[in-house]
Amino acid sequence: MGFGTVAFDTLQTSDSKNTGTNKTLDTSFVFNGTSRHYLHLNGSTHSVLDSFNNSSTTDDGTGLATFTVTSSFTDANYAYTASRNGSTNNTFAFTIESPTRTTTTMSVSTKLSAASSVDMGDANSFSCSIFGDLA
Amino acid sequence: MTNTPEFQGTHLWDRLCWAKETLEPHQSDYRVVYEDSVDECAKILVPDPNWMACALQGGILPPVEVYWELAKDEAEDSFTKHTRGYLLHNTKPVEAMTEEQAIEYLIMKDCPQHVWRNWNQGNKPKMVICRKEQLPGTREWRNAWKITEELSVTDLAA
Repeated sequence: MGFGTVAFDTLQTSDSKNTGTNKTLDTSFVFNGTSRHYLHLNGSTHSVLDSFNNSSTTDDGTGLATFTVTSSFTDANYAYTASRNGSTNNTFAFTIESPTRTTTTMSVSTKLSAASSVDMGDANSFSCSIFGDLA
Repeated sequence: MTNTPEFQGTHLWDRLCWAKETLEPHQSDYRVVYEDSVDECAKILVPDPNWMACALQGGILPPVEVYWELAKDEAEDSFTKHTRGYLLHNTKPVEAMTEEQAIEYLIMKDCPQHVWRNWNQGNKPKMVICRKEQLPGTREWRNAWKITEELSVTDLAA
């Protein structure tokens, strides 16, 4: 037996036993809050470990990368979160910046802070997720 | 072989959801090395395995020309947001591609046009497709990587 499609506008809990009131949630709220792109990248080979809505990654140089999406965003005002794991040298802190972005690409740089310097640096792995409206 | 549903008119996002659940990712060994500017090191484009699965499957991705149209809109000074996103969803999807055809599509989608349209204009090629084993084994001196001067455009054309 195959499964069909269930269309609904609102989710409602059966929470009245615990809180005295049921809670409801508009399904568009769920959809709009869903990440529209995610990526987990090997920092040394730039090969993709897992992803969604990503067409390619570009190794732009030490600590520099560009990600390109398959389903474009409606504008470049989307929000992103990112993190990195490990580094090629001892690190006290790191920052991730996104200096340029379009509706289909996001360029990022990772900077590694050592005791007395801040340099561009590669991470062992890199993850990011983007939230925004799709075209 | 999984049959692709009729996706023309379906939002591209929904197609990608179907592909993520249904298709096995395909890790390609191909890499695209290109030089965007003479002042910068060579860049290396790596195909996404989930995207590659979509390309090999067929019936999911829009024609690459759709992305060019949207890029034209975005290049306008008056651009604020896309109003022709329907092109991604309503244009007939492309048929299944070979891995090599998929790489060509990806170059035309994700590499700067001034690179791939003029890749052979100059003393050496601006872009080379290679296998990952042909790249340096470590990232030492990464910011000095360039396409070798010994590679001539006529050699590649032959």
